[in-house]
Amino acid sequence: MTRAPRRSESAAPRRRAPRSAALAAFVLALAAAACAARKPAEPQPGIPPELAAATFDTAWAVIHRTHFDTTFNGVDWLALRDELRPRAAAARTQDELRAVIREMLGRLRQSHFNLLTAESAAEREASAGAEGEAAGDVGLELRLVGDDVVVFRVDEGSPAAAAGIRPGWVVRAVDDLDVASVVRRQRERERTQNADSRSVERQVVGRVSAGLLGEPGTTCRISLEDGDGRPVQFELRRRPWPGLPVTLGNLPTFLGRVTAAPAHNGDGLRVGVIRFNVWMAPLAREIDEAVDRFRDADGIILDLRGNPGGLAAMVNGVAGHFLNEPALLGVQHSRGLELRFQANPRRVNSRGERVEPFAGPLAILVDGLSGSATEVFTGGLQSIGRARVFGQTTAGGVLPALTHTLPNGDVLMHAIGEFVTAKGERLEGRGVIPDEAVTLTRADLLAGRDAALLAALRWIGAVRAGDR
Amino acid sequence: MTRSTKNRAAATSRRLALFLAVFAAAPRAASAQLPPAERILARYIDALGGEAALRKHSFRYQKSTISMPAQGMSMTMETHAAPPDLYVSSMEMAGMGTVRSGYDGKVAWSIHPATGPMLLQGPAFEQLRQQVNFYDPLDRDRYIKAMETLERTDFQGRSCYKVKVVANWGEEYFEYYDAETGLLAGIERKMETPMGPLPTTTIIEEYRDIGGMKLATKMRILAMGMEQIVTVDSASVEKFDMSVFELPAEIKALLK
Repeated sequence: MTRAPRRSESAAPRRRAPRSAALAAFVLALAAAACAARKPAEPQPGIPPELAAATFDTAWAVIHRTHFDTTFNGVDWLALRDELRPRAAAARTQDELRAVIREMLGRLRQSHFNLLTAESAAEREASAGAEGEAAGDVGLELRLVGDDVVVFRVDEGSPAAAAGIRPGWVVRAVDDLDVASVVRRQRERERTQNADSRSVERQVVGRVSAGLLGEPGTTCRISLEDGDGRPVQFELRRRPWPGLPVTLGNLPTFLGRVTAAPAHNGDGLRVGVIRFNVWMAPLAREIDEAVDRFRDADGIILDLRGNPGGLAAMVNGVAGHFLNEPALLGVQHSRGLELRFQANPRRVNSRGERVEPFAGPLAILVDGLSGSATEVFTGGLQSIGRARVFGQTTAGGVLPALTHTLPNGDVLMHAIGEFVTAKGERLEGRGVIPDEAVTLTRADLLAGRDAALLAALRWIGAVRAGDR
Repeated sequence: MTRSTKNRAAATSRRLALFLAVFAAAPRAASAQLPPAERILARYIDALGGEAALRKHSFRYQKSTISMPAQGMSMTMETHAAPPDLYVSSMEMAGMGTVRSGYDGKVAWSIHPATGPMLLQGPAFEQLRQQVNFYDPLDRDRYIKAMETLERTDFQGRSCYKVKVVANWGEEYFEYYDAETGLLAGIERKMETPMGPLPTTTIIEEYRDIGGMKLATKMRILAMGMEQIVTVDSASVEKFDMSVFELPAEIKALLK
């Protein structure tokens, strides 16, 4: 930013820590759960008993110290330590230890309590020097419809598009991964562990999608059922990820991407559709530019379907593009602390020029894979009446979280707060309920219809007709 | 700089006298055995090198590293500062981008990639102005209404005097002064953020002798269950171009 002086051997005293350091802590505190899909971990070698015990103790103590609810969601946290610690200390492998820690986290039955393995962190570090080259995909986005994993979107110009794969086709296998067996396992979990159906979709889609990712230039074999029920198979060569891989601290790499395109509803209105798949600060500039592009449009649709969250501090910044006055979107309740999601109007554009925030109709598209920061944003704007929400109920995982590196190198993600909207609604476990529920069907996908997008366009048309 | 060093010293003496008078007016019986806050402050100034040494320079540039080991994060930050409270900082962080903030004597601002450009107002504005006071801990009466020694206590394993500080805008917070060295050992304070006040503990772990003065070169900051370690890697008092303090275009646009 600025030129440094030449000589640097003397200094005047400063007695306070730099202010921005404290602010940085604040911002990073809000990193929530949203990770790029990862490969399954390899079996791990042994672990010394002392390290196993220390790792368990650290994970337990971090949650004991920081959980926002001192009742631990009804779990006797002290008794749970006494119950599980002997098993952790007796673990012979990393995988055995992780199973115990994951059981401890699972007892809380709350989102944003996860264990990320040291191996995934090592993969990230290994690829950090060549991020743009390390991530590749085939251009497919998947969803679970009934018990079928279907193609939801095919990216224009992608290997999948070039092969002729169409929305609505059913994915049967990716390389040696049998999709039906993945679905069966998760449905069994749904039955036996009372798992949420949105969690089932997240697990299934995450697992199958992970098989499609890999180094650019490598190939994957995908078996599908086309629109006429015929089995088809393709060997797809992965392209470099068309967006921006983002690495933040000890979280896995996020594959971020922003797209913006005009949409027309048939009555001459111009509507901007802005889509971004994760909340990460390096994408903020592109989001700002996308808003600038449609600042004079008749309406804006934010397509946040499949966006699992990310840096919750971005929520206020993006919301400010659509507010003409400061607005409270909601409050994060942490132990002894209350943080306000206060959005301020964004009156400067990406070129540094004075502008007015977008005041036209704002629609937000969501689905069961929209989680965390996406829910804070959507639920917040919905609660103050600034946006109308279309699609399916969101994931219901809305607990702001931190990460903590454990003694064995694994990373503990742990929730430190609970988000409540401006209207006092708790979204954890419930999710954001759309104003207009739009069910995703295979028939619509095969017909090339995006029903949620069409509903949003109709609404914007009606609002503008009312204006006239 | 519009005042000579002599004039600055005289002005400081007047302010210090006023400062001491304020404290003298509110003695506490329970504090009879404790040194008064003004004595603790004077000892701190001496421990740093004395007022003349503190006022010797008019430019400061620092380059620091900020790490958050548990979160696997690391940042670099450079700051430029000049009297009386001109300040600009730029922090680079992988996965986040560049976070900038500053104060040009009138406008306190920040530009964060996640939230865009902002003007700081209210308590956040006051705190920033205080924190970037170039000659701190001198000239304290510009920001501080009162100080009171509360007790001698343990702070992070060090025997310290705990001092309550009341800012001109009504905020109360606590400073801890090492009973042995006289140096500031830490601060407990609610830092104003765009999302509200955030309880923060700053622990000063290391001072280094540089140019006849002591510089706090290593700090730990605890907030929201996280720990940040700030290490000053290099510092300079060489003259630099004052244009660094000019408001960025985005901030100028906000002021229109």
